[in-house]
Amino acid sequence: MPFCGIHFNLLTRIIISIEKAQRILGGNKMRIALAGNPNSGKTTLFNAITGKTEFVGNWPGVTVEKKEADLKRKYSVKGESIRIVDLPGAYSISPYTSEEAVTRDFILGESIDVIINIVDGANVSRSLFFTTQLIELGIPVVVALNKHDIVNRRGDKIDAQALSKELGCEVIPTTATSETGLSELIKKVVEVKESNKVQKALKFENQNTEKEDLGRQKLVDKIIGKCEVKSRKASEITFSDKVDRIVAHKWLGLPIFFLIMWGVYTFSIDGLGGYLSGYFNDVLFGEIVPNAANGFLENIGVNPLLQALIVDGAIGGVGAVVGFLPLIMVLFFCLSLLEDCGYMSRVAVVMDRFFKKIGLSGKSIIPMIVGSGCAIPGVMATRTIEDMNQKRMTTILTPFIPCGAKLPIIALFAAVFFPTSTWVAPSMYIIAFVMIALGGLLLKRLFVWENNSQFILELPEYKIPSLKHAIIQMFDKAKGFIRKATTIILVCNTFIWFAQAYSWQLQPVQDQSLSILASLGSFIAPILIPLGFLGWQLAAATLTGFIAKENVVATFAVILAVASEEALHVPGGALTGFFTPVTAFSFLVFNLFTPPCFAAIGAMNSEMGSKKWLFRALGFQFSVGYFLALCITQFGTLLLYGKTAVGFVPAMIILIVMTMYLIYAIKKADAKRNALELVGESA
Amino acid sequence: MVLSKAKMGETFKVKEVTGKEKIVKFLFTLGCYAGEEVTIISKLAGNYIVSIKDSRYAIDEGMAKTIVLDA
Amino acid sequence: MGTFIIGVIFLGVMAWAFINARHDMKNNKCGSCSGNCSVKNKCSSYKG
Repeated sequence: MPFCGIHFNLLTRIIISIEKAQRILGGNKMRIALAGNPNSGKTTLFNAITGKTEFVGNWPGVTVEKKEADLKRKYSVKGESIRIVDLPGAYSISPYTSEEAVTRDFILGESIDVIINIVDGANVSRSLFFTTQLIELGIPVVVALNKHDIVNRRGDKIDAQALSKELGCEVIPTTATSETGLSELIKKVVEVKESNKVQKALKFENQNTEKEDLGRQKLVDKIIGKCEVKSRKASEITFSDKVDRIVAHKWLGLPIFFLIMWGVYTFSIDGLGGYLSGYFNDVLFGEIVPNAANGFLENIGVNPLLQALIVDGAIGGVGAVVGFLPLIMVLFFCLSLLEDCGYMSRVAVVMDRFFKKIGLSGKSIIPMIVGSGCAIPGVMATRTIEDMNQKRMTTILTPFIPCGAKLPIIALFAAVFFPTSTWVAPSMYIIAFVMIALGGLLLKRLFVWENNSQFILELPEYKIPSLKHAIIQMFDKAKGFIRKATTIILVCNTFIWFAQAYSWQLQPVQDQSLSILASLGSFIAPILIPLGFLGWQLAAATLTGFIAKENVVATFAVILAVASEEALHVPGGALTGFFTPVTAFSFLVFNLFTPPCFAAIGAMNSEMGSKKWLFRALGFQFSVGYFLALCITQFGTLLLYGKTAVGFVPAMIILIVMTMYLIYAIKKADAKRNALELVGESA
Repeated sequence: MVLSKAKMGETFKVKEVTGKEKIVKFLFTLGCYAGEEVTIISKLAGNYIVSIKDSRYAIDEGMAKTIVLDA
Repeated sequence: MGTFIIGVIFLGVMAWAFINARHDMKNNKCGSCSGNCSVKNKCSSYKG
């Protein structure tokens, strides 16, 4: 499978040209852009008027790129087709963050008919700064005065009519979360487009001089004075502040965070999610489905090879993965609640102190938490980090957190080798955090770069997370998971089954070790010997993991279906032939820390900015995984069983070589750093 | 006096914002510039929670040192 | 006979899966994610 990343730039260019062509050919489809401050409710509005289920998270950087969709039929005024584009949040047109750059480039570069400027009713004066800039673009602007429910709840008063007069554009109060005011908004937008009025810019003092921004702010203050009456001072201590005192407390903050994360993962993996998954795996895909399929196929008198392909290959492999669906659904439900309430920004505040020690800022925690769902948006979330070096480092470390696709592997191995202990799954996350800390420290030593991180993050008010949104997310993920299982995983499994049933001469083989898969696996297998992993089967499983991490489970299911009748995940099942508990744990760690699936690698490629860095990243990740697995196997076996594991000697040699190289690399970096400092001093 | 030395719970007027131009401009768009009011809400986990124009922000020591207050 | 029918059906299913897999991989950075994971929202590479 080709690296998606390598073809990415070319593909994007092709896609953009196709879009442009479509637009030209498609005639005058009205295009509306949604622009406004971060957290003002743009994406909520977008979802409401397009029917999409884009993710809404109460932290900055949720939307990192523009998203397009068509207006829902129920909102269209005369049945025409209207295209809505959701842009990342921006505080101004002159960009500081990369999201603001996307907004600016888009509005200036594309053909937009009307701009809907979403103004956060809870912070109008800050929002208006951007508004005055948007008005200057010459494109008609309609202001959606959003979060009107909060305005009312607080007792503030905003005179929409007066505001409209001051700004010279229409102002419609809206509440996107309850879909209030949206039809008026769209009606007004269409009206404005049809009237073909040109948007007049506002005049203020010091325009086009250095002090322009100051003049702009003064204008905004004047407008606010005329239109807004606040019921309380913004600097009063709010409920959110009180909660923050506990949640972001110097000493309590971290334990609270770990507690919450532990709760989420345990509930998903060992609790409800695990319980349901257990049923799926043991009963549904363990007995009911295969038995029914076998019975049915036998009755029709299907060729036994085809039967095996269908039941052991397709159903067996896919079933092994789909069995974990409940687990993943529960996890995503919890994560959505967590992200929606606004807690994430506080986590960044708490973690900032620790992340500074490895040269990052608290912002880097967000991609990692997102990455616990899927590493791909996690890596993409690094776009909120302005400093390139910090961004790269975060990109390298983010895939260390077990993603949703790795959950089946964790759950499977925990069930087979450690059925009575509940610490195995959480330990993976703890190890991940430890490795992020250690890996971060190591990266800091190995690569020479300046790190002066400046941390500023908006803390939105807490809100009750939307259950409806969480449920939608959960089912969305379920849909995606099933789709992934029935496409890429199904295809892979069929190939795997074929590769383990046939030899290179395309003859069916009774002995698996003579098959195509076995020879492919044996090719890689020697590398795994120092890790204590014997057998082409393990190599094959690891390899397929790069296409999709779930494949590790699926591949085992397919390969071992031949060996045993029992379901894969029974405690002490077929896998125990390949691992001791120590090497099983080690295998788990290995698959978790080596580079992620190709799709995630593609995402890394987009964010790293250069191939050199991509390969450094992959090299680093692979080394960490390899090193960890090696140590766990060799030293674990020594400690727990009092004897040396397989591949002890080569393992020690590799260990020594790796350590020597590491010391050498650090010394080289130190020398470079000293040289730079000397240059700096003399300059 | 820089923000990092300011008293908790008090409101101050900003005298000037020092530091790299990009950051000064960014703070500006949030409403943090000479003449505007800023309230120090609290200090949590090494970061200062400030209120600028109706919104709360968390800023670290480094950034807090670049904001000079009238006092 | 049974083999033939089942075989054809299975081939059809496989073809569908294969085509969809390639479609997913080509159409967005998400690659194998088919743009339907909950991340499709954060992924933002999924074009409607």
